[in-house]
Amino acid sequence: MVLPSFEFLLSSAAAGAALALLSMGVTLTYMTTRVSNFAHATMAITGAVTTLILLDRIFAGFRDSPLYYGLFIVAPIVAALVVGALAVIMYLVAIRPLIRKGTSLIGLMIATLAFDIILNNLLTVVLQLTPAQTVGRLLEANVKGYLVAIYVPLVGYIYPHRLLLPLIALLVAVGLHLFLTRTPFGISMRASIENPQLAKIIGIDIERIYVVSWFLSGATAGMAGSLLAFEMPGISPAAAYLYIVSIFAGSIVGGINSIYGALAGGFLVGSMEAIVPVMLSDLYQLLTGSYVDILRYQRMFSFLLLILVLLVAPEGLAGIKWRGIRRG
Amino acid sequence: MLKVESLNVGYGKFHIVFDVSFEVKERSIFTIVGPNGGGKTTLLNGIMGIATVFSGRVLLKGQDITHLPPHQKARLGIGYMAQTDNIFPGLTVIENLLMAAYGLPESVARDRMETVFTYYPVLKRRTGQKARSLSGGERQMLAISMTLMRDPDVIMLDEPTSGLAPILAKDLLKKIAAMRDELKKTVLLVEQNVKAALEISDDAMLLVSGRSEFVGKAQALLSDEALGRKYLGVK
Repeated sequence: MVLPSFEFLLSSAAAGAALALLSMGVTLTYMTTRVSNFAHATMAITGAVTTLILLDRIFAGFRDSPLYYGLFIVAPIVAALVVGALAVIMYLVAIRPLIRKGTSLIGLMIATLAFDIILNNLLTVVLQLTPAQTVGRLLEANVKGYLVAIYVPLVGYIYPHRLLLPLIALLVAVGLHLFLTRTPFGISMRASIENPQLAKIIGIDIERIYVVSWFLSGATAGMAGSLLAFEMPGISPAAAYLYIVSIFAGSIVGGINSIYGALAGGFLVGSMEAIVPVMLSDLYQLLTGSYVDILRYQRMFSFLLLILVLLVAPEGLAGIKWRGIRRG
Repeated sequence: MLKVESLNVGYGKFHIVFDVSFEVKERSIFTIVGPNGGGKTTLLNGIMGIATVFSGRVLLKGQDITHLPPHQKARLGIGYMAQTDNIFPGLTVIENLLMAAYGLPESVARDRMETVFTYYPVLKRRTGQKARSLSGGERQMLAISMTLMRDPDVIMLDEPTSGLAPILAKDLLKKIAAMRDELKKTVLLVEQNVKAALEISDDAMLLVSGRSEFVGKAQALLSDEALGRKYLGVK
């Protein structure tokens, strides 16, 4: 590949968009409740598993019908609701009681790790309880076998989810901006992030804001996981342990205290993990004639980016004074 | 209007205010004075529910509100202006004011905003500006305006003249007196500017090391030379 194809760029944008949504979710719960949620990637995998169950149990029967494409609309919505509800349960059952008991930030972080391990094991159990034939398809078969590509004139065949992911990420970014700047609830969320004590004494119920922020964080994770299911070479709960490092890298590159920064950081890290290794593999092949699959080491690049960004801008992309740079 | 009975307050395990009782009468100004570190702010925080109340009661119009969360106390009629961090710098002036009326119908909030603009017209010219760009005096005006947005029965002000130029401080104390006389509000004031504050007050308390050393008429405290010399630097 000397020049990247449209399909390759689209799949890289899809990977970037998924990570943008995931990093934004981690940042949102960190900014509101100061909790670094290590269960976030497993929540996304829950969205992926929800999608696969919907696919296998309901939509597979419509393979040759236009209804089959409904999967790409129904699955992200169902996954968002399921994982959003799961995130709220996690907050109400585990995180809030610990915050009220005065648990330290490290203690809260470990609690999310504990929740992550429990959820990850539960997902494995759910998959094991499914009939063996289904488990085989879910765990081992390449999910892309289920996919149907759509022909787009002048472009060729593309998979719908690859268009949907950047589109959803863009809609979430615009929607979130309008929500935070134009609605009283959104403004109260910004106020609660800025100064929770003042928010309380002027009459804002910040507990309600925390619950909504955990729901939004879970819902976007479920949505991203649902569409990522089509990119994964077979779904396994263990995949969460690879994703979580990229999610946090995106969040930190963007700036851990900025929702917009997290969207940008996540997109940058996700698309770079998809593009750079492939380009390097191709370049190596061009120069030496032999092929090395650098994609296996893709996360190395996101952490190189992380270190570079932190060296230049310790507060991440959001901490850079862009206007000052433009004016020189 | 506001009654505090044998209140013990602190943070975590630290006991700071001991067994304090007083009553703030309707349409009056009750001022708490005392040396620094005496527990004045902690007492207000305890009343509002952001410090730990170990024992005792807080009654608002006869209703026990001691253990209600702060946002409910605000909605029941207590407006509290903290000494520091009393505005949202990252929000615009209009967003700050709207947040201070959060939960009220928008038409009511807009009406209240027009009312506070009559007190502080300068804020009307700054509505779209981020609060962080306001001057110190304007920030204080915004903080007081936010306290008024819910049209509270009781207004608690923690050192509102702190950091203001003497002329602005004097003007602010006049406005606090007007809150009682014109707006018919009940004010609980903590103030370092002892003499000027006691002059506009009806009742007062002297709080020293978390304990009440005097509760009574403000004029009586002002004319008590022994207490004035010992604790307040007033001759």
